Amino acid sequence: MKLAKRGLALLLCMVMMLVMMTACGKTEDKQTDAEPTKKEDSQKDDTKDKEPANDAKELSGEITFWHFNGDEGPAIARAFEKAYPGVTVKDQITADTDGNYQTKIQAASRSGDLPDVYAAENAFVKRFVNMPGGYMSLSSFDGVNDVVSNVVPFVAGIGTNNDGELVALSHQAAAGAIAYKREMAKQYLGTDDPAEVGEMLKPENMLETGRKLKDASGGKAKLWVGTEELFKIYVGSRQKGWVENGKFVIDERIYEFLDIAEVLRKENLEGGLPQWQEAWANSIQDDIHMCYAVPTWGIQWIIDCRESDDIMVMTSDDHPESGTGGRWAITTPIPYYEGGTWFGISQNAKNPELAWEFIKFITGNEDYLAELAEAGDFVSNTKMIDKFKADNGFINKVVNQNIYQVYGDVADKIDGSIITQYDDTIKTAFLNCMNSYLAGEISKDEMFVQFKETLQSQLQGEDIAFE
Amino acid sequence: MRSNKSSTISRRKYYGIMFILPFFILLSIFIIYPIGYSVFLSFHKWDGSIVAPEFIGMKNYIFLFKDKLFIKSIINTWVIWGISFIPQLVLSLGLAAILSNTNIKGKGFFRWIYFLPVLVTMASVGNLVFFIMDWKTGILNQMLMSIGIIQEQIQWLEKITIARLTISITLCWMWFGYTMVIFMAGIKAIPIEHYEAGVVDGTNKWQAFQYITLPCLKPTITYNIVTSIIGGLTMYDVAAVVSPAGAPQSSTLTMVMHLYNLGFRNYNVGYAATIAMGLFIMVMLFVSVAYNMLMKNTQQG
Amino acid sequence: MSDNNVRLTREIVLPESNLGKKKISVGRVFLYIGLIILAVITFFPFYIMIINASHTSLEISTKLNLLPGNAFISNILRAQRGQNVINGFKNSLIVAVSTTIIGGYIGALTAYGFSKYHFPGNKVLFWVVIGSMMFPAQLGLIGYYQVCNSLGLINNHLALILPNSAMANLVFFVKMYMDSAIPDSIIESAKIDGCSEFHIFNRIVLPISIPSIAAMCILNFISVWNNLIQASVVFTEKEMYTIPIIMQNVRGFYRNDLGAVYGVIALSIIPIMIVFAIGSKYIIGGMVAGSVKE
Repeated sequence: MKLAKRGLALLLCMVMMLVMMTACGKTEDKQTDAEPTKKEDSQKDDTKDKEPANDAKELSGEITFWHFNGDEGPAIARAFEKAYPGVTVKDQITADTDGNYQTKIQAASRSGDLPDVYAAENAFVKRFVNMPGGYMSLSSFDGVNDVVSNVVPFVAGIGTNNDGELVALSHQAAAGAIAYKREMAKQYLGTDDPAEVGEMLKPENMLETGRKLKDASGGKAKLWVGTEELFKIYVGSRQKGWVENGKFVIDERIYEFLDIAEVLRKENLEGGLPQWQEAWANSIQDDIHMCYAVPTWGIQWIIDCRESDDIMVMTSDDHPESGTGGRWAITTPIPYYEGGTWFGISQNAKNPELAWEFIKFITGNEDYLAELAEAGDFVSNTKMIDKFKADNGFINKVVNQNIYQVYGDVADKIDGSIITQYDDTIKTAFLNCMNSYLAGEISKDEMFVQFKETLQSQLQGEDIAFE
Repeated sequence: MRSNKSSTISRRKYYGIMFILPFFILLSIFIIYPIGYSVFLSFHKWDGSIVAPEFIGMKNYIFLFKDKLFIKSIINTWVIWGISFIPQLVLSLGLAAILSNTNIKGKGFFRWIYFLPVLVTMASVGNLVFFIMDWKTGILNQMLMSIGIIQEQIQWLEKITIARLTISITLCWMWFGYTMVIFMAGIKAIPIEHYEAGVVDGTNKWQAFQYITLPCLKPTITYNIVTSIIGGLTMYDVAAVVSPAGAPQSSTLTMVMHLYNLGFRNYNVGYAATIAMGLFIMVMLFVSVAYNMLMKNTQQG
Repeated sequence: MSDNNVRLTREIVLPESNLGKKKISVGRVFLYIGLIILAVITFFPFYIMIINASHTSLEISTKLNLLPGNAFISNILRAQRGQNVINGFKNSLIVAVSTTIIGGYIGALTAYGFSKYHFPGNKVLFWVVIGSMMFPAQLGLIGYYQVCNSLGLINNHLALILPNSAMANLVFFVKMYMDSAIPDSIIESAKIDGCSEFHIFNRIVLPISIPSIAAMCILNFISVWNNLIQASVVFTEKEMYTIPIIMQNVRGFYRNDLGAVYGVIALSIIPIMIVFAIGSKYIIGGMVAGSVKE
C-alpha cells in the first residue's frame, strides 16, 4: 500500500543522503592526508643536516595537535601560526571528561594514528610519558640540550620517563602559592603583607590564625575555602612518594594534614567547598573565604576569570582586562606544585621536525613567552624567569605583586621525582575516604582501611604491596 | 497438500535465515567480535598500549572473587536498581492502563509530559541534583534550615542511604515515562475481542485489568523487566553524575563504574574485561531466570 | 473497525464513563489531581533545563531560575565561537536519522524472521540477541575501535551508524509484539493469495508492527543522538564531531561555562522532541487500527 511505498522511498532517500555524506567524509579525509609537508624530513635520525631553525620565517608545513583544554589549546596553536605564517597547526580539542581524551590517545597509539604533538595533563602525564608507542624521545633532536638547560628542572623531570628519556616539556611551571583576599587579611588579621601573612599560614601557626580570623569576624570568615586546597599543598610538599620500591607508603605530611583538617572542620574554620564546583567558583567573589591554593596558572584561571560578574566571558580569544587591581595577594609559606600541561611528539608523527620546532617555540621563544607572562602565566624558561624576577616593575594586576619573584623561589625547590603515575587515583581515593571521615560517617581507622582497600582494588596488577 | 506444505516450510525456513542475516552480520562485526575480544583480554594483563597483552591465565578471575570493591559494587548496583525499578514498574503500568483504557481528558498531554524525562541529559541531571542536595549551598538544606528543622547543614550525599536513594529516584523518574509508553504499545496490541468478551461477561474495570490486560501484557512486562535488569546492572551515567568525585564510602559505585575506573583511568584493561565477564554472567543468569519465570505460561495470540 | 470504535469498546468495560457527564466521582478527582502532581514533578527538571539555557552561567550556578532569561542568544553564540555547533548538529542528525531508519527496518525484518520462521537455531540465536544487550558499551570500546580501524571507518559516519543499526532491544520487543499481534492465520491467508515473503512483510506485517517499532526507534534515536563514548573515540577530526562531543568541549576546561552547555543542550533537545512527536503518533495513532481483524 501507499505507506510501504512511501516508507521505501524515504528509506532510499536517506540511504542516498547517507552515501553522499559519507563520500564527502571520505574525500575530506583524503584531502587532509594528501597535504604536502614542504620540509624534506624523510630521515628522522639524520637531524644534524637540517638547516638551523633560527631561520624563523622559513618554517612551513603542517602539524596535527591534540589537546584536552579548550581554554588554552587553540591559543597556543594560533600563536605558533602567527609567529610562522607558513605553518598550519590543525588543533583538535577533546575534553577529558570520563577520560575520553586519554582513551582517544590510547586508541590512536594502537592504530599508529597519533597526531604530531599531543598534550598531557598533570594528572596523567606520568602515564603518557611512560606509554609505549606514545611520545618519542626528544634527545635526538637538534638543540635539545639547550632547551633543557633553560627549563625549570622539575618540569623536565616530570617529562622524563622511567627509562630516563626526556619525552615531554611544558611551557609553564606550575609552582604553587596560597592566595588570599587582601581585604579580609587586613580587616581580621591586621595586615595584608604577603610575608607576614605567609608566616601566619605556616603549619604551626595555621590553626591559631584560623581561630583569630573566626573570632575577629564574629564567626563569618573562614580561613580556607575547603580542605582540598590544603591537601594539595601538603601532598606537594612531601618527602616520599606514594609508592617506594614497590611498597605503598603514606608520607607523614599526610597525617599532619589530616590532623589539621580535622580541627579546621570541627571548629568551622574552613568552608567545605570542593574545588571546581559551582559553589567554590562563586566563592571567589565573596568576603567569607580567605585562602585558596593557587598555582601559577590559577592566577588567571582560578581568580581572574571569576572576578567579574560576567564570569564566563573569557575564551581563548579574549582575555578580560587584567584590572581587578590587587584584590588578592599570594604568599608561599609551603612550597608545592600542582597541575601543568606537558607536550610531546608522538612516535608516528608525520612531521617530527616541525613538531620539535613547536615544542621549542613554546618553551623557548622569547616573544611568545613574554606574551604569556604579560597575560599572567608563569613560564618554565629559566632565562625568562630570571628576567622577570629582576624587573621590579613587572607587576601582575590581579595580585599587585611580581609573581615571578614569589613563585620563582618556589619553583627551584620542587622535586618532581616523587610523582608516580598512580597519584591521581590515590588522591581521589584519599579525598573520598577523608570526606566521609570528616563528615562523621566513619572513624579514622575505618577511613584508612577503606582507603587501602580501594587502592588495592583499583591498582590491582600494578605490583604494589600494601601492608 | 502435504507435499506443498513441507516444501513451503523448508522454503520458509530459508527466508527466515535470510531475514535475520543483515542484523547478524552487523552484530557479529561490531558487537560479538568486541565481546569476544574482551573475553580474550580477560585472561591477559594489558595496559591498552601497543605492547601486546600478557597471558596470565585465571589470575584476573581469582582476584575478582577477592576484590572487595567489586563485591561492594555488586551490592550497590542491585540495591540502587531494585529501589528504583519496583516503583517504576508499578507506576508506569498503572499509568499506561489509565491512559490507554479510560476516558481521561488530556491523555495526549499527560503521555507527552511523562515521557519528557527520557530526553533529559545527564549533564543537567547532575547539575540539578547538586543544586538540591549540596551540603553548603543546596536548596534542600536551605529550606530545612529556614523552617528550623535542622540547625546546621547536613551532608546528605555523604550518607550511604541518601546517596543511593537519590540515584534510585533519579533513575525511576527518568525511565517511568518510557516504560509507560512501552506498556501502552503493548496494550494497543491486545485484540479488542478480549475486552468485548469481557463486556459480555459483565466484568468491571479492575477485573478487566487483572484478567485481560495483565496476562496479555506478559510479553511486554517481560521485556520491560529484562531490559531494566540489563540497563540497571550496566548503570554508569546516572551514578557517575550524582557522585562525581566518587562514591561516599564506595556505596554508589556501580559495577560498570568500577570497570570503567580500572579500564580507562588505571589502564588495567585485562582486569576490566574480567569484571565485564563477571557482570555479563550475572546478567545472563538473572535475565534467563526472569524470562523463564515470566514466559512460562504464555499463550500465543 | 475504526479507531473510535476501538476506544468506545474499551470504555464499555469501564463503567465510569457510562455514568454520564453530570456525575464526577471522587475517585476521578483524586485521579486527576494525582496525574497533575506527577506531571508537575516530572516536568519540573525538564523545564529548569530549558530555562537555564537562556541564563548566564553565573545565574545558573547561583539561583533557581524559573522564568526565562535573555542570555540564550549569547550562550549559543559563545558556544559556536568555540566549537562548530551547527556542524555538530548536522553530523548528529545524519548519524541518528540513518541509524534509526536502517536499524528500524533491519530490526523489524529480523524480529519477523525470529517470530514467524522456525529455522534451526531460532531459539539459540534469539538468546544471542538478548545476550548482546548485556554487555556494557564501555568495554566493547577497544574491540570496536579495532574493527572500525581495520574497516577504514575512522572519521566516517558509518562508524557510528553501522553498529547502532543492530538494535537488539528492537528485535527483542518487536518479536514479542509480532508473536501476539500477528496471528499465523493472516500470513497463511496471504500466502494462499500468492504473496511473496517480502511482500507479506512489507505490506502486512510491517504496518501492524509499527507501534512497537516506533516505540523502540524513539529510544534508539535518543541513545544514538546522545552517544558520546563511541563518537569521541572514532571521530578524530573536528569536522566530524557530534553534538555530545561538542557539549563536553564547550564546557571549558577551567571555566565550566554552564550557559553554553545548556544552550547546546536546549538545541539538541529539539530534534529529539520532533522524533518523539512523530513516533508517539505512530505508537498510539490509527496506523494499526483493526485492519488485521477482518
